[in-house]
Parts: sequence; structure tokens; C-alpha cells
Amino acid sequence: MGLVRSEFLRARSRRIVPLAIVGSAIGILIGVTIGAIVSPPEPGQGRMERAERQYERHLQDCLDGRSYRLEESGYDSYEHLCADFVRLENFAPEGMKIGDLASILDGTASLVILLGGLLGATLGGADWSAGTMTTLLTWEPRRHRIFTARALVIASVTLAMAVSVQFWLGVVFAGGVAIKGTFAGTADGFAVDLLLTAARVGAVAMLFSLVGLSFATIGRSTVSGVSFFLGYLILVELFLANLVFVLARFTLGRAAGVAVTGKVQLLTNQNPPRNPRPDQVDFLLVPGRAWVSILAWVAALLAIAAISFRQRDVT
Amino acid sequence: MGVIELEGLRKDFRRLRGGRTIAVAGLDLDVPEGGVFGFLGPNGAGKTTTIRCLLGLVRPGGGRVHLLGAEVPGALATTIAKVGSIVEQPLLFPRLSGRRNLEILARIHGVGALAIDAVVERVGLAERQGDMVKTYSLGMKQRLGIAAALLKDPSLLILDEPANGLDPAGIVQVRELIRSLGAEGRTVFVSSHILAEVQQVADQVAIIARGRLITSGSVREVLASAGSNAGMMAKVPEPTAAVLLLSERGIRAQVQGDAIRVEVAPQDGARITEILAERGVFLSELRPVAVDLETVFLELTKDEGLAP
Repeated sequence: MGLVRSEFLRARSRRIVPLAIVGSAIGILIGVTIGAIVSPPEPGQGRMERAERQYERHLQDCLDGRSYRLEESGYDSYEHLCADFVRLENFAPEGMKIGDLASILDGTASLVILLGGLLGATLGGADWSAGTMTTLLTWEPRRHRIFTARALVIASVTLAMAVSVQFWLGVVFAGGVAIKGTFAGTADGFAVDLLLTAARVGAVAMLFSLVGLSFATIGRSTVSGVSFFLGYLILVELFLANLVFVLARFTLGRAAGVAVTGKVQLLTNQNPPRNPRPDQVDFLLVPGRAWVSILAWVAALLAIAAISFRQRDVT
Repeated sequence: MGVIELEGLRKDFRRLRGGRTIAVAGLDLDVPEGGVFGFLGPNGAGKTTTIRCLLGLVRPGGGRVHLLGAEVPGALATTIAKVGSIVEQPLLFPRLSGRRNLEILARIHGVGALAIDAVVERVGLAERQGDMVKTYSLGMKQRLGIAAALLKDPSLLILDEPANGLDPAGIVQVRELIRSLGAEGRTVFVSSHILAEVQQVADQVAIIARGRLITSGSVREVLASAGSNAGMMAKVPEPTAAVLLLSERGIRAQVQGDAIRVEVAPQDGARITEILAERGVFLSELRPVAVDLETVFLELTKDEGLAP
């Protein structure tokens, strides 16, 4: 317990944490202010009612099977499929609407997740970069304890940061809507949807922080951690996965995208061969599989990092 | 039972371009409880690697290591609370205050704020404890490292080159601190490549070179063992003539300034006076050559090619 308390104090003392929170808070404030300035004025009641009628018509078409084919969607029922793909905010007029908040959280998720990864790499690599790992090990020689406590603290700090940032985004956006927008036109279950989105973003950011920690522990420095993390995203996610389609099924970034939205995503092979093997055809990535992929990545990387930390000399 | 026991400790490192570097080559050591123990040797002798093995930072390639009776690394966790240490240099977060660095460590073993107050006071950092470590001088960082090592109120302190890079005033401060810690009944294990420095504070010493033990024992014993070979200094009116007279009787001597250095053991000093007096040469001074640990080290390693 003392080790966890020490790790919390260590994390709290690092500048990266307040910098990330304050930077995000200011960025959100600026972004919402600009959005409020450029958005059209509050849509009238008539336009909102028209949008709702349009939405109900499209929803019914979807439920009747006239919009999507269930068997190709990866969903088990039209109710789930249509709830994800036919949404009231898609029909609402332009302008700031509180109903858009869940989509905004989805849209900003990649930044929050990236921040989580960088936070993990930075907090995980700080002791190696400063050389203080030697000092720490002369206080607690059981390396598995240090690694576990560190993982626990980094995950908690990242989760708290992700939730705080999203909460702040919600508050600031609601403020913008109150000044220049509408609170009308929210779909049923809006609040639940919002909370679930925020929770998913927080959970994925937390898991990515553990990826950052693992990279930093294996590379034994903050720079290595951040470089491995960004290198993976660029090399594997953006380059290799497009070159070798089968990799796309297992990449962290795509899995994170699906896990955050909770929606099925069709992974399309841009360059299919004439006689494709089963792993070369388009693939539906469902949320369950996406979570399994992320968890498998995190578990594997944590295991490699823990073994590396335990076995290698600290010189 | 010694507080530190090493039996045949070995450690080698793989070189980047192939081959292996032997850092510690079967080192045996027994450090008794209490007082200051000097662990001496030139740079590259294997002192820091030995300390890293002691603290579980590197895995020994062979041999046995016991720290306060516990086998290392297996049972190190059971005794680490009683061991304070600095390895090479005190490594702390430069952008945090000295106090915050201590607080982070203190929480691991549930050490309270009062203990932090006491150690910063003891090392003379009370007034600067709130400043960022990066603004500290080398001596202050060293003292902060010692403060961190003292936080656990350890019975064994392992200090690796604590006077490294310090100015003369800093060296004196650290020396006094080590002396007082040893006088409190703690065991202070101090490694250094500055043999003369440790000679001033240590009760016992071990000298190593190329990963092997050269000699060990109390400072007096170690000095005496080499002192018998160091010879005598004699002051005579005509040094050159005196050297010739002694060499005629098979005693090797050489002129050093206005005196001669005669290669005889102190207990054989009477022979010098006898030989010279027979020829009408009378001594104005005869004393054993003063030896220090550096002399001992050079003496003990000259035939083995171990000296740096």
C-alpha cells in the first residue's frame, strides 16, 4: 500500500499530469468558443419537430429492413443496428445541440486516448530517464510489486484524467448550447448513451496508458516509450495494416475506434486479390472482438514489460 | 556473522562487440557489524558492481551474497528496510524539490514527516529542502542522497563514492557525517577510489583490484603489513656517502632530498645506526617511512600487474 501511495505522489508531482489537464481544459474552452461563434443561431421549434419526424420515418424504414441488411451488419437484431445507425442528431438542423454531445465525445476520443498513451509512456519512463529506478529499487527490491503498483496508479490517473476532460467538455459544451443552441431534440436514453460513451473512452484511454507504460518499461526511457507508441501507430496502424490486410483485424487503433463507438465497423480490403483467402476479404469488426483485441494487446505487452523489468540488470 | 558476506562473488557483462568483461572475479568479503568499513580500489576494480549485486540491482553470475543475514536477491526484501544506500550518485528527480523527493521515498515504508525533518536537518539541507533539486550543488545533491539513505534509520549504510565530485569543504562535511554515523553503532560501508580519503574515517578496509580481494583487515593491520616493507628514512650529513656505505654492507638505500631511504624493516633500524656509526657517520633522524593505503595498494599490486 505504501508503494501505491508513493507512486500516486510521484505521478501527482510530475508536470505532465497538470499540463495535460490544464492544456486539455484550455483547448476545450477555445474549441467550444470558436464552435459557438461560427455555428448558426438556435434552430426554431418548427425545424426541430420536422427533424424528429424525419428521424422517426428513417428509423421505421431501418426497423423494417429497408435501409440495411441485418445479415451483413454484424448485429443480432434490427433494434440494435438501427439504434446505432439511425440517430436523431443526424437529422437535426445545423447548430449547437446538446444531442450532439455523445458524437462529440466520440470524435474527440482519439485525442483523449492518445493523451492516455503518452501519459503512460511518460509516467512509466520517468524513473528510467532520471535514473531514479536505482534509488527506487534500493527501497523496494521486489520488481513485480513496483510494476504492479505503477500500472495501477497510471491506469487510475489516466482514467481520472479522461473522465475529467470529458466532464469538462460536457460542461463547456452545455454552456455554449445555453448561450447559442438548443437543449431540445435529444433521443431517448441520451444521458445513458452519453455516460456509456464517456466510460468507453475512459476505459480505452486507460488501457492505452498501460500500452505506453509497457513500451517505456521495455525501452527503459520516456523517449523510447513515446517513440515506440507513436512508431507503432504510424508504422503498423497507418502503413503495414493497409499493406497487409489481415493485420487490420488485430490492430489496436481500429479496435479502439470500434470499442469507443460501440458500433460495428466494416474493415474493407482496398486491394483484394482475384481469389482472396478468407483472411483477405472484408471483415466486420464487432465491439466484443475489439475489446478482446485491446485486452490481448495490453496483457501481452504488460507481460513482456514485466518479464523484461524483472530479468534485466539495472546498471 | 558479518552484516555483509560475499563468497566467491562473480559478475561479468556481455560486451557489445562480443566477448565478456569480468567485473567481479570470485570476491570474498566479510564486513563486521558497526563502524566504518572502507571498500577500496581503483576505478574499474568492481566496487560499484559488487554494491549493485549486494542491493539486487544486478544478478550475480556466481557465488553467494548475504546482507544482514538474508540471502540476496531472494530474501533481500526482508532486510531492505534496514539498509540505506547510494549507488554511484544520488539519483533523484531534478524538477522536484528535495523534500518532495524524500516524501516519495518515505511513503514506500510509511516513514513520517518528522523523520524527513530530522534527516534534512542532519545533513544541513533544512533551508533548501523546498527548492528544486536541479538548483542544488553537487555537494547538496550528495547530502540529499545521504538524507534519503538515512530516512529508513538503517543499521547498514552503503555509500558508493560519497565524496565523488565534491569540493574540499564538501569532502570534509561528508567525512564528518560518515564518522558520526559510524560512531552511532551503524555499519557504514563506504566505497571509494580515493584511498587516502577513506583511511581517515574507516576502521576496517578491504582493497580490491580487477574484481579480486587484495587485502582486508583493520586500517592499522593493513598499514602495518605493508609498513614492514616500506623501509626507514634517515637524515645524515652526507647522504650520497651514506648510501655507498650501506650498499657495501648489502643494504639497499637511495637518496631522497636531504635524507636517505633505506630498505630495511623498522625493527632492523639499529643496523643502520651501527653501520653508519662504525664509519663515523652519525644520524640526526631515523624514522619508519610513513605509509598510507595508496602505498599499500601499490605495494600489494605491483607484482600482479593489478595496479591501475
